[in-house]
Order: sequence, then C-alpha cells, then structure tokens
Amino acid sequence: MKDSVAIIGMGCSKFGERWDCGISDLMLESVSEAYKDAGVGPQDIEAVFYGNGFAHGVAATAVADTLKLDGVPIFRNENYCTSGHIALIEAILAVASGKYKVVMALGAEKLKDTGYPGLGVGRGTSTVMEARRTAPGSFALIGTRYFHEYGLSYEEGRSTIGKIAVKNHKNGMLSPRAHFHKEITLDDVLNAPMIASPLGLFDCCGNSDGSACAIITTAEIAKSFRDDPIYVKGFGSAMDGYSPLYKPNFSWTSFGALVNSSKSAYEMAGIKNPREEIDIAEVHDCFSVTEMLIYEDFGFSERGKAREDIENGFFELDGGLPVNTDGGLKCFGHPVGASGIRMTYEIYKQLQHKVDNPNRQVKNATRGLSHTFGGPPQISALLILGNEKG
Amino acid sequence: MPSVGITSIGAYIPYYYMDRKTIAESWGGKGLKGSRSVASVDEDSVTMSVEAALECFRYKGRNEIDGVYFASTTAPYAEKSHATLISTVCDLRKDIFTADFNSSMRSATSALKAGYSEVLSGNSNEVLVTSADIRNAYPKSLQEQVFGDGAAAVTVGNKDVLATIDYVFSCQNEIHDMWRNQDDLYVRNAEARFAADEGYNQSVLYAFHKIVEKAELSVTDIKKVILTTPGMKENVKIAKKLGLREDQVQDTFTSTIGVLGVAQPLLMLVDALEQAEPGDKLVLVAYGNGADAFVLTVTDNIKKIKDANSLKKYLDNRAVFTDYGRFLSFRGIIEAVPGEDYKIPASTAQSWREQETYLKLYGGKCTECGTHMFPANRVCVQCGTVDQFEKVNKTEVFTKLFTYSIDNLAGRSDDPVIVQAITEDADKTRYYLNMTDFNKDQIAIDMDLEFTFRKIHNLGDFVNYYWKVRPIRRKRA
Repeated sequence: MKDSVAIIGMGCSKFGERWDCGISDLMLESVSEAYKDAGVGPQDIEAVFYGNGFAHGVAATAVADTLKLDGVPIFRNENYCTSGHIALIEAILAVASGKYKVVMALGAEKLKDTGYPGLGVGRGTSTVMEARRTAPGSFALIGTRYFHEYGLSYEEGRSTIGKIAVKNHKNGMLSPRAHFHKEITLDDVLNAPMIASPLGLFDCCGNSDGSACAIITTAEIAKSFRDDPIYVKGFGSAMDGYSPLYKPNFSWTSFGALVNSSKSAYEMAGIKNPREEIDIAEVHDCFSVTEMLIYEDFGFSERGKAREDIENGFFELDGGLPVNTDGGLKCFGHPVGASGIRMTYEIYKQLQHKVDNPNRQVKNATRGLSHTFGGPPQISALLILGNEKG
Repeated sequence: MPSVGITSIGAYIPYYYMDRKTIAESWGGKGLKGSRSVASVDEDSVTMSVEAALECFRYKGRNEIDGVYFASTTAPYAEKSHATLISTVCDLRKDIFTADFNSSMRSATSALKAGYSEVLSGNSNEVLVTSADIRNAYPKSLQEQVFGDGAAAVTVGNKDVLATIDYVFSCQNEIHDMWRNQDDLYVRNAEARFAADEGYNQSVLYAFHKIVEKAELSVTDIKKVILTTPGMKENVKIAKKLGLREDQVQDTFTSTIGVLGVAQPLLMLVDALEQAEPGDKLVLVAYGNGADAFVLTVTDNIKKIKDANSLKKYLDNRAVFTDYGRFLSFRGIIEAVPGEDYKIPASTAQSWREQETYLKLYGGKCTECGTHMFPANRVCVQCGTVDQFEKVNKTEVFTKLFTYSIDNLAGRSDDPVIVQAITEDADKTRYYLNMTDFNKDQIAIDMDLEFTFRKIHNLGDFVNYYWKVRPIRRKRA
C-alpha cells in the first residue's frame, strides 16, 4: 500500500482560545484552506472522515450542517487524542479500497465553551473508580516511574523533561498559528506552579480550539491536482489490551501501543532505522514527559538514553531529528480531535518546503512522521509521509 | 445459661486532629487544653464504623457474624439502612440480621444490649455492634472544641468471650438537655446546670446504684467504672460522688480525641478491656435521656488481646490540622467555592451491580493461569480464558506503591490535592486508587499501603463510596 495514496491539499485554523468562533467557524477555516490548496470544492468530496472527541450527542452532523455536503457519508471517529489520526487512516484506507477517489479527513474540536481550563476531572465509565483522574495526574505516573527506573533524582528528571518544553516553546515562537507564543527558559519551567508532580505548568500542553483538514486521493491521480503531492508511506495504530492503570506487570516506562503502532508503520514504510531515516517528526507532547517516552518507544533514542539526546539537542530544530517543529501540542495547542491532522499538516508543509515561516523550515526534509497518543494512555496512531514515491 | 459477652473489639480515630486553641483563636479566644479528632473530607459515620468493624475481625471470623447493628446520631441517610451497607463492605454473610440504631446518645449501648439479648435468646451466636459519630457544634461554641470524631465496635457472642456481660440495667429520663431537631446542623443545649443536675447526674447515679445493687457489688470490688461524659470531665465529678478512686475511673480520651458522641461508650470499653486482667469487674454506664448500665467480668481470654493496641496505634499516628476554614467546609458548615466534579451522574443501578468492586474490593484470580486482577475481570489478561476466575476479597491485603502523582488541582476546592496511586500487592495485583491521610513529603515508591473505605462524592444524590490507599495505620507493616 506504500505510495498508493496521497495528500493533495491541507488546511489548518488558527489554534487558541477562539471565543469568537463556534465549531462550524473552525471547520470552515481549515476546510476553505484545504479546498484552495488542493484546487477542489465540495462537489469533489465523496466521503468525510471526521475526528472529534467531544460531539456532545450530535455525532457528525455538525460537519454536514457546516459544509452542506448533501448525500455524502460522514464517518465520525472518537478515540481520545488519536481521533484525528485514526480519521486520517480511515480516509487513506477508503481511498486505497477503490471505493472513493477524493475524500476529506477533518478534525475539529471546540473545547473552550465548556468552561474549564483543562480537560477536567474524572475519566472512565465508573463514577467512583476514576472520579478524580485528570490528564496531568495520569501522565505524571509515567514521570515518577521513569525517574525511579533510570535513577534520575526528581530535580534531574524535571530538568530533563523541562528541556523538551523549552524546545517546543522556542519552535512555537516561529509558528504563527500556534496558541502560545512565549519563549521560556529552563528556570521558568522549574519555577512554574506545580500542576501534578513531576509536571509543572510548562510541562502541560494548551487546551485549545482548532480544526485541521486534509484532502486525500490516489497517488495515481494526485499529480493532476498539484505538482507536489505528499505520499503516504506508512501508518500504524495500536491499542493496549488492558488499561495500564490495572494491568499486571505494566512498566509505566514503555507502552505496547507506542511500540506496536510504530513498528507497524515502519514496516509498511520500509524503515529500518527511524533515528536515521526520519527527517522530521511531530509526536504527542501532551506533556513533556510523554515526548520523552515516545523518543524511546519509537526508536528515536535507545532505551534509557532519551536524556542524552535531549541534552545534546538532537531533537532541536537544527538537530539530527527535529521534533515538534511547529511548537507541538505544547504550544500549538491541543483541540483533541483536530490535533492529529494539525500535526500532519506541519509534516505536509515541511515536506513541500512551504511552511508559513521559513525560519522553522527543516532543510531537505523528505520523510516525516506525525503521531498522537491517547487514553489513560492506551492508544497510539501515526502516519509516515514522503515527498517522493519510492 | 451460656456465658455471653464481648468477643472482639475495634476502634478508629481519624488521622487529623486539631489543637483546641486553633479553633478558639479563630474567634479571638484562648481555647481549652488538648486536642480533638477531626474526620477528613472523605469520612463519615459509615466509613469510620467500617474501620472499627474491620478491627473486630482480628479476633472473629467474618463468617461467624449473625447480625450487624450500626449506631450513630450522624448517619448519612435519613431513610435507608446503613447496617446493610456496612455489612456488605465487611463482606458478611447474606443471611444475617441488620439493624440501625439512631437519635439517642445511648444508641451504641442500646445496640449492645440488643445484641446481648439476641445472643442470650439463642437466635444468634455472634452480633457485631459498630458505632460512630461526627457531630457538629455551633461555630465558636465550647462544644466545637469539645466534640471529636471517631468510631468503636465490639462483637457480642457466646464463644471465646473476653468479658462476660453479667448484669444489665436501664432507666429512662425524659428531658431536653441536649438535642438536635430534624434539620438542625448543630447540637442544642439547655442551661448547663439544669442539664447536669436533672439529666446526666440523676440518671447516671441512679443507674450505677441500681446495677451495683443488682450485682451485689461493693464499689471497691470494681476495677474500672466506664462512665461516659457529655463534656470534658462531668464523669470525674460523678465518680467522686460515687466514692470511686481516681484509678477506678476509665479514661474518656476527651483531652486527646474529644467527646465522641455515640461512639464514646464502646471506645472507652475497648480501652478498658485492653488494660484489664482476668477476673476484673467492669461497670459501664452510658448516658442519653436515661442510662444503660452493664457489669462485665473479664475472662482468661483477655490475654489474647494483650497487644491489640486498638487506640494507641491511631493516637501515635496522627497529623495536626491547622486550617479552621477547611474544618468548617469539610463538615458542610460553610460552602467553599465549588470545585469540579466528575461529569457522568452516578447510577444507582451501576453502583448496585458493581458493589463487589466498589464496596467489597473484590479482585479476581484466574483459575487457569493464576493471574490476579483488580477489579475481577471476566477475560483473563494473561491467558484469555473467559469466566474462569475466583473472587478474592482484597481489603486486608497490603500493597506497595509502584508509581504516583501528586495533583494539586484535581480535588474539591477545599481539598485540592489528589494523589493518584498505582500499587501492587504480593500477588502482583495492580490497583489504581487515590491515596488519603498522607504526608506529602513522605510519599515514595515502594512504600507500604493499606486499603481504607471512603466517601468519594454525592453524585446522583446518594453517597458514592469506594476504597482508597493510605500509609499503614490500621495495622503495623
């Protein structure tokens, strides 16, 4: 399937606290850009794959109502933070199946109407068992165990992951549509208010409104739309068989979902050594510690050696493998269902060498990876793209 | 006639206490001596009763219990049995008698007497009596400093008796000395000397004289007189009138714990038994619009509870609570800024269906491969077999902390810090629970933890209970 499907147009809204916009306005912003970029219109769209985490009981009708796509199937995917990526994968599979020629993957989320700054308290389906679970509190479980396992003191651990936050803020400064534009120092990270130890304020990503969109077709006809389509090299998604919260022997320093999803995508893309063969990556930095874990589970760093790579600047914009070049979830913001497609947007533009600020353009990038990770966490999805076939 | 008496004991004192001066100084006053115990935000009379009841299973098997009597004036429900809830949490048999005793300060001794009669009649062999109170006094009142929160429990039976109950006597005395109307938040009082003269003093003196006469005891024959007290030391004044020596008067623990309401008589009895020797005569007199009196004789079996340490282990492991504002908020006296609650409304059907997890803390052990899982799971995570597991009660199991986070914002606004804990027991069972009664600076991977039954929230307009982990208090590691 490698190289049989291509992305021919993408759009991304401004992310942030969009008090002035409803979810329809956010969708229109990304879809209009994507139509224009691909040179298509609503009449060309045969199906929509919609990534959205919080539909509040209206399913995918918000998409139809906004875009007036009469008679077109709209498939909604809700899979925590991977909703956007899985919608993309579904769109790719739909085109590859031969059923449709031109489809849309759309992610949109309006979080800021719900009146809380984070994703709130309480998870799962039981009112008592996870009544006080929060996202920072759950991902912090990784940090505590990782520091213990690899002999990092609390201070060493915090400063290691803090450097990821500093990097992503630096990249976010170069990213006009990002939610946050603020350069920070390691001291800022370490002295910020503690949210859920070991994660301070700057270890946590923004909770934002936003939307992103991709127009997808077969590789065969992609060049009839544009000269520089971006090809799908591989994708993978995996869900762990049981919640890490209760799973016996679970290590909390590595997640099967991350290892298995990346392995599947690498195999499909023919990647043997991701550290060398991937030029740029957007990975799920909901919290700084998550990005560090992903370095190891994705094979960017050797097991237990992420710290060395962080210290050596390997993942900086000018490093060996730049990660989260647009600021990541950390700065660009994290409207759950939109994030996977937004991250793919950055890779798409980077591989076309057309990012909106040339100062963050990664030179000679030919192969990139975008990824999200969600749940307690438990589910991972990623996409590998390239600007040439083969 | 079989000898019927106390067969097991248990007590519970909350982790927090307040210096009385902290309360008084909040109002510009000086304060009484000592401290009072303070229930945490996740505790109520049911959870504290469970703690005390679980202690009784040190000496009595759960399957031996034929009845559960719960006594409290501060039970969370006006209509609904608490005894069934406690019985379920304690994982007792289905074919037992459960009853709630409330309203009266004599509720616990009424329950004790009922349990005694029940066993004496031959209807039951073993009855658990568990009592707790968390009474509110008017802010700024002296009683606010005097009252305390806690629980105590005993079992009454006819086998392996620690102390036989030899004589009982009760009297009634209608008077408004202390009372609380249906919708009152605080206890009300009559003029103090009237209440003492015509209420407490009159009933206690009468009951004491009557039971001593009935038992043909002289005052000097009595090792300890367990006299409850409505205030700091009304019992001492009465003891003098009765001609008792100081060493014959059982400690009330009002200086360190406070006046425990309904739980006071059994808490004092628990301590008296732990200090007793075979052959000792004990007299218990509990007041509340009249009095219940008991004469007990300690048996040789008392030797087996020598190191029970029922109260001391709690008193030695407490933390001072210094925030008067939070104290008021915890007790529902003032309303702190609302925090955020879980969005899904609690379902009575789900809570009923899941009671083996929520209330009994059952895990499962796969009968094919031996893997332990919590909660019990129909599909084994290890070998994939379906419905091949046995249920395991995990409440008495110790666990070690595997990883944790200290979330500063996840709790109620008056109790914001939530410790999420992943723990593991000796069977490699993993648990995800919140931690309670912790010292933030002493939380560390591999620390030993035990389970404690707590109140989670009131979503769905009923109390949602579940278990938490806490650093060891109930048992020594």
